[in-house]
Amino acid sequence: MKIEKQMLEDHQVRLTVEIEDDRVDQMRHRAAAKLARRVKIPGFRPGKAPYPVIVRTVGDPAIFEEALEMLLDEVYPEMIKEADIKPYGPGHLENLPKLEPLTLEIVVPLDAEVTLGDYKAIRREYKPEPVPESRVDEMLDALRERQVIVEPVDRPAQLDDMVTVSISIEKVLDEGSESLFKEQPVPLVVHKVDEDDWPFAGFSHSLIGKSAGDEGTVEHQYPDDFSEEYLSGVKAIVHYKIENVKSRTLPELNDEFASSVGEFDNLDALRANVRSMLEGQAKETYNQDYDEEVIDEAIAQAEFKYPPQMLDEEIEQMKRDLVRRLERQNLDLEIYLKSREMDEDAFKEELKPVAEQRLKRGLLLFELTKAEDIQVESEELIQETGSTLNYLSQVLPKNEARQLKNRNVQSNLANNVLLDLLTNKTIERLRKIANGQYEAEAGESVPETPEQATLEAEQSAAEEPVVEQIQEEVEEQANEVSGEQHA
Amino acid sequence: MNNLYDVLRRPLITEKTNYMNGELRQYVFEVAPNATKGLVQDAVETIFKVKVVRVNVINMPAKKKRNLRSRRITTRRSGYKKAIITLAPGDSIPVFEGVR
Repeated sequence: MKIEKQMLEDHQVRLTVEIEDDRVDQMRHRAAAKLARRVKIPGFRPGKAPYPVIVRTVGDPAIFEEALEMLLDEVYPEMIKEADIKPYGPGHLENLPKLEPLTLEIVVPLDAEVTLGDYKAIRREYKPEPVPESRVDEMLDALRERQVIVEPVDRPAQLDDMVTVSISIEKVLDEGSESLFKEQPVPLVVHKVDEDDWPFAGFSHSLIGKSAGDEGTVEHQYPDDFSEEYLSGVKAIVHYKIENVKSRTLPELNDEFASSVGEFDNLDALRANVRSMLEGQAKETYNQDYDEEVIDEAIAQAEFKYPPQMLDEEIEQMKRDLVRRLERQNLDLEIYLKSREMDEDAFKEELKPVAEQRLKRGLLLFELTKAEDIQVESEELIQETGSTLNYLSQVLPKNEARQLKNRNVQSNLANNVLLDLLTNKTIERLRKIANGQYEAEAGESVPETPEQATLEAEQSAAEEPVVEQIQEEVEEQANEVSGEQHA
Repeated sequence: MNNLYDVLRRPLITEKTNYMNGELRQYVFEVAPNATKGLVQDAVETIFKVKVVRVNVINMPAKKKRNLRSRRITTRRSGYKKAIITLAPGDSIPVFEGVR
């Protein structure tokens, strides 16, 4: 076997392979035997006809085609090995320039190559914004709002009262008027003047001092950009009649209120809880933005080489995601494309830059995981998989939940969880590098555990004992879960 | 039957004859109904330029077969005469011309 390598521009390689005649002949015979099993040849039991008879019945081209296919299957791995390349996907036969000796021209897309930049030098200021006290107060107010006590009172409306008003709105035309809002009772909370309100700002404030049974008419010119379309730019007459007035009593902000909200001993505990929750949220959103920036910078530093097939796959993936999202809204891609007045090619073209970014991000993180030697401990993985499984079995409908017991589904899940964990850890590491925390920690010893699920575990998941182990544990959990469900 | 070339009608190629070709140096032909052992020997020797050791002749009987389309109708398949020719050691007849 003679192999010539020729690099192509788009990170693919063209292999020109010459194959010995002996081998081709042998393949022909095997191909003929294979074909003979399917073809009925008179006078012979299936599969018993000699080679010449088969050639006469099925014809030489058919045998050659079959032989070529079988030959490719057999020779391909050898070729890849001998040419010393890392393929990303299956190559395709481009050309058959010569038959004697048989010469094949095969184009193989190469696996992506990522050259990381100096990502360790990325530094970015890490400064999560502190949560202002006013945000905590707002949250507490919202909590109080949930426990509001509404009581009917016999007095004119005041600020913060709940007033039920029958409202009708009519549009003023040159002659007569047109009803925009049929008369019906609407509960309104009396706001301050400048707050947003319905039917227009300041309306509820004007009700202060009026009591049940009072009627009135207001004229209002709506601005052109009013949030409700049917009212924007309309000159309207609003007729209202107050049905009743109710006082709203918010619970006082004290220890008693705190204990009624949840298991809090006093107000300070509640306050601390709300604050830490808000801080957690704020930190998460900040981290997300921060990570995005750091990753973008790392991407900009790194060099990527990947074959076009990889990008195509990413685009396909995005398309599938979209289709799934559309399905949830009972739409399909065709309708979606029609509504945007574009065909599939244009749509794909539109996805391209985003897909490219996503692909680069994925490749970068993968490479970083390798470069930083990030590992997931098997215990962690088992635990994480178990909790995901638990969650899924509660969320999914019953017939789908049953599938979770399937071994393949479980190992798939474990793989996904492993990937997620790795990605998260990588991002975390990158964040620490960028904000300088990692260097500070590097002085301390790096803990090592004997049992580690490394990247290899994820690449050849089926054979790895770790995954086996996970499956067993996960199975146990699944059994427990289903037992609970039956109970 | 005008001449020797009309004697041999076609070689019979089946799993069995295939075996006979290789292992026993025997070749099987359908021959003209009025061919004799001597005529078959002459024909094979002149056409294929080989030495014939022995000729066996069998009259295959006609057979009644059910029609393919309607199973009720029976059709008659005509019989034929079959000759099994044994060649001298070392001789062979190329049954499949042009094929290795």
